[in-house]
Amino acid sequence: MPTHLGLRLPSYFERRRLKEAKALEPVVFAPVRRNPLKPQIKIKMHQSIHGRFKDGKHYDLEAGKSYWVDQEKADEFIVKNYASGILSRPYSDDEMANIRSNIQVITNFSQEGLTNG
Amino acid sequence: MANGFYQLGMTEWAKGLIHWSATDTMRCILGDAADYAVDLATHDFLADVAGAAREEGPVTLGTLATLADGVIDAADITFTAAAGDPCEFLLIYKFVTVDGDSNLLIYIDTATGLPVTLNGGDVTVQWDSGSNRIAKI
Repeated sequence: MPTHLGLRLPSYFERRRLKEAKALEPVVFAPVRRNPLKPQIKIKMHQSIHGRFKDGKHYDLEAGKSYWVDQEKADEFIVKNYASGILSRPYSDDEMANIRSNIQVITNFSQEGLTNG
Repeated sequence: MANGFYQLGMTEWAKGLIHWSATDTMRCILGDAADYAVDLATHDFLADVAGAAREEGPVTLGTLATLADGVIDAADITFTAAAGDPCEFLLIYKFVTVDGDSNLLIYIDTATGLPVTLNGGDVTVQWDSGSNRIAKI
């Protein structure tokens, strides 16, 4: 170890370690809202669907495309025949009837004259 | 009012600027006529439709198809867990990032199931399976 004027100079490795130590930034821990991961299921849409998440944001699933969605929603869409996929569990006829119970249908408009010639 | 085409939208269609295919994105909204007075002759872009009138949607039309004799079709659509004011019309438009450039195309207010009272359940639109499907141009 070289010494000059009675001072002990740090070795190259010691100087490098000290330099790197100064470069380290303190770690800041911020509280976050953790959402437990939900199982996802891949479904293929038969219909295009618009809906809202609980926070009010919209989602738009296009017919003909495949998406990974929460298991609960996937089951709902499969039971309602909006999409194809594998149900997470067997559903009884009563359960399926209950899931399908609140659907209103708009139809038959092109027979009302939506033609332009 | 009756179902109809927006005339300025049809002009764009005639110019070849509207493609009923994967080239363009077609969207549909369920609307409240209390907040929108339709004018098929002069309204051209989605910006003409007040935000309050756009009750549910938009939903992107999928599996767009053109059939013989100018007939256009798409997969059925559903507005899930729809809630809000009663809705009297459906509106189909070409989506291009901003409302001011999104061409209005088709207005539908005469159909079985319209007007519809939104009760928190789903509202499914079943395009006609007959000869005219969504519309015949």
